[in-house]
Amino acid sequence: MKIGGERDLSVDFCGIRFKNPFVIASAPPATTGEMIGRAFEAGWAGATTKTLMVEAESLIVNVTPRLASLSFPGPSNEPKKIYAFENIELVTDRSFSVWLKEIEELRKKYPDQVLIASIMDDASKPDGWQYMAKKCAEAGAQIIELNLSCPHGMPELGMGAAIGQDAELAATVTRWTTEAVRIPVMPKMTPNVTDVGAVAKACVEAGASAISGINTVAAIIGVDLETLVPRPNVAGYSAHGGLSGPAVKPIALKAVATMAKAVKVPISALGGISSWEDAAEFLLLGASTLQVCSSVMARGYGIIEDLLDGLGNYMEDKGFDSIAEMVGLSLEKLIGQTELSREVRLACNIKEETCVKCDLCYVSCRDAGYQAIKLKEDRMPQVDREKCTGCSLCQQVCPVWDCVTLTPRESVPA
Amino acid sequence: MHYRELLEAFRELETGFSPQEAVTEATRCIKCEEGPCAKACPAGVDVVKFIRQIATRNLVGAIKVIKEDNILAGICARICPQRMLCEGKCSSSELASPIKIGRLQRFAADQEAEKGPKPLKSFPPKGLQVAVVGSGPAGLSAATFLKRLGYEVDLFEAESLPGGVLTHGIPAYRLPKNVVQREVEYVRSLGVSIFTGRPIDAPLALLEHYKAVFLGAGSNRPDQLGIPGEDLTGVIQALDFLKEVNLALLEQRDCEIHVGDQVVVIGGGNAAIDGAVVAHRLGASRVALLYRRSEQEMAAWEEERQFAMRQGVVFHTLTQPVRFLGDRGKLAEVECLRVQLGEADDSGRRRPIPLAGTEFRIACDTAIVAIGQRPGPGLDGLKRDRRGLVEVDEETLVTSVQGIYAGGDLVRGSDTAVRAVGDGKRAALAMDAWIQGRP
Repeated sequence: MKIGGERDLSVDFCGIRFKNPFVIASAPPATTGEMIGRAFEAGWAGATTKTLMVEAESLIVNVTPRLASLSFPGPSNEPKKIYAFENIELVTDRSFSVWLKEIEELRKKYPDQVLIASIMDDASKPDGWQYMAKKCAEAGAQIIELNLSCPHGMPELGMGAAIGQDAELAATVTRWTTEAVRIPVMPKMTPNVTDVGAVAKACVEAGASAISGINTVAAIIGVDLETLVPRPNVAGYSAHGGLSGPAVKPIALKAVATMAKAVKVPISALGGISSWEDAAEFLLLGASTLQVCSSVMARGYGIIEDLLDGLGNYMEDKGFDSIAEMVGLSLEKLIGQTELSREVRLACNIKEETCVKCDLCYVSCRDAGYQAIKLKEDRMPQVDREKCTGCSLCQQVCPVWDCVTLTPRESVPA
Repeated sequence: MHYRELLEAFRELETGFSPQEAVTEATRCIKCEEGPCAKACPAGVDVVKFIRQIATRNLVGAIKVIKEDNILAGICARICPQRMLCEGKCSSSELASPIKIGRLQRFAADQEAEKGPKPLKSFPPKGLQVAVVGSGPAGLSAATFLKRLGYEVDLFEAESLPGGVLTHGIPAYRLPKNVVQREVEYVRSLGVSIFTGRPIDAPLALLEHYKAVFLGAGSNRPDQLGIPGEDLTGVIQALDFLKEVNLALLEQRDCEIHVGDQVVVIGGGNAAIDGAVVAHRLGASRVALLYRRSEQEMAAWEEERQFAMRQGVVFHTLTQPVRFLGDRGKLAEVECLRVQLGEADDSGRRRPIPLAGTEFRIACDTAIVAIGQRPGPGLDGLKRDRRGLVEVDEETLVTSVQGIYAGGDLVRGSDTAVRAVGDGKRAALAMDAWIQGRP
């Protein structure tokens, strides 16, 4: 039960009001209009359609299976926890005209939610891009997302990442589309490039009103050691696919920060967002809206409830009155490695009260550190703060929360 | 017993989770979308949601979710029979063992106690007054919901301290009294006016001043054994006994009751178990629990029975006390008969049949009687069943008198605090609907 009102988490993105920053990404959770409608009912502020293509119904045939996952098996008495999906699924296989009808219906039924149409074609001519963008805008889509980033299946046809990996092609397609419609055009970046900032910049110079990213990371999730076929096994063969989920979040954070520093337009971030903490991190590194796919694949649309509640409580705790206040706040704290302080010297410090005497810190320091930790007779680790160079490996491997701390080298630990 | 010893003997037994333990346990949860745990909670707490929030370190969110439905978060976390409710339905049971939901809830509540209370949202004031009688779990829950729904709430408590059975009945080693005080204070902080020392003799008359009334005064009149010698010094009702020990702790004074070395406790419910363990903690070296049926028929929960046995309480089942024998007005022995079980009676349990000629005596300094309880006086005009319990509509909890609602042990006899909390919530919502003229 819920008594009382809700917190305002709305955000302005290219002049469009999102009632909160959370948007369903162009992916399996946005496979049909009916599904998008349910996501809206659950509380999502917007959704990006699965990527539309002209004649998709005859061109697109999916394989089975087209998913594989990485999980922490954990001890046998624990459920597995998925930390990455790999997919080799293609863009929508549903006809463009059906989608247009659904876009129209969704806009009518959910005027307060934002609908983003994702589109794709090759870079040979403007016709397809311009036709689809115009039709989607007419149907009521409020933003056009350009899929320049799908890493599997489509690049082989000169589409997706084949365009996004070439700044010039990406800019060309962006220009074509912006010439055709008045609504914001938002190219979606691939992380499978040397400098995502350069591609984003080229697109903005070509007229993009916003940038989204990242699409999935090109990956092979594993090989079945029994059959010797990489996963997923499609009739005895496999192909590389796109990796998503919590495992790619650090890659996405870096890409978003790079894009935020390279361009001035709003950024719609995606890549491994599964909790309110992830959301806050992306906002602090420059994103204004947040797209989510993998964690909805694992847990359903209902996760929006926790995302909103956790983010709202964090903002209240930190005294942020609006999402806009948070956007990009951490960017100024991101500088070049060579500019970082060499003055502050820290050394590790192990709390005897919480230590479980497991020896992990000792082993890691011995074989990958500076031999600064010894074990006493009772297995209690003892730090030689003169030898310790403050690398923090022991802190990383320690299984106990807050047991290892780093303190200024000159001071004696309390 | 001196206050200082008392404090030591009644220190809380269960320890709370550390943050790492809590997050690890919450992460172990499978997180079913429609948790069977939540469905099994009589207060309707969204269990999966607060576990998800602990797992993602949204601790403020967790305590708010719990208190949204159960204002007595820290109390119920400690005294709920979770194995029979939420934890009993946990999907993880099939995989390994149920998630320790009670301890997770306690962690969230203790975190709030440490970091400062978080306000709950309320609807704007309606300018209408309602009354709640009794400040136990049912009354506190009803008062909270009514206040948050926008009513001015006057809560009347007969005793000098609020909390009902939570304050006076449950031993402090299971439920520390500062936890009760903290959660009662939270209810007060929402704006509920609590009047203590105000027994209500004629609840129907309250309707002259209030739009509606909720009765949650519990069942606190103990049943008598009705056997010779019950008036001897040393024979005491469990409710009075537990109350004196709890008041001594609350008033930070020595406990007036000296149980002596040998204690018998008569009864098979949770109050009997509490009485036995408390007597043991007060220094009795031999505590015998006498029950006229077999262990199977005991109302006391399995876990509680096991706990008492581990504490050294000896169970004498199929034993019926027939008289107390004294020496100069002071209890010295209890005489019992062996019992055989016959056909099931109308309570569904097998009827005890005392066997003639099997008399035997147990020496005792104190006898604690815990054979049941029923509502007190002051319920004239309300339809009641033959046990004296107030009859209510199952859905709305309205009594035979329009505008008067009731819940908790006043209706149920002897049930859990969390069911009383659930009753308070359901009744408050029904009262609001009735006052607003909604069907």
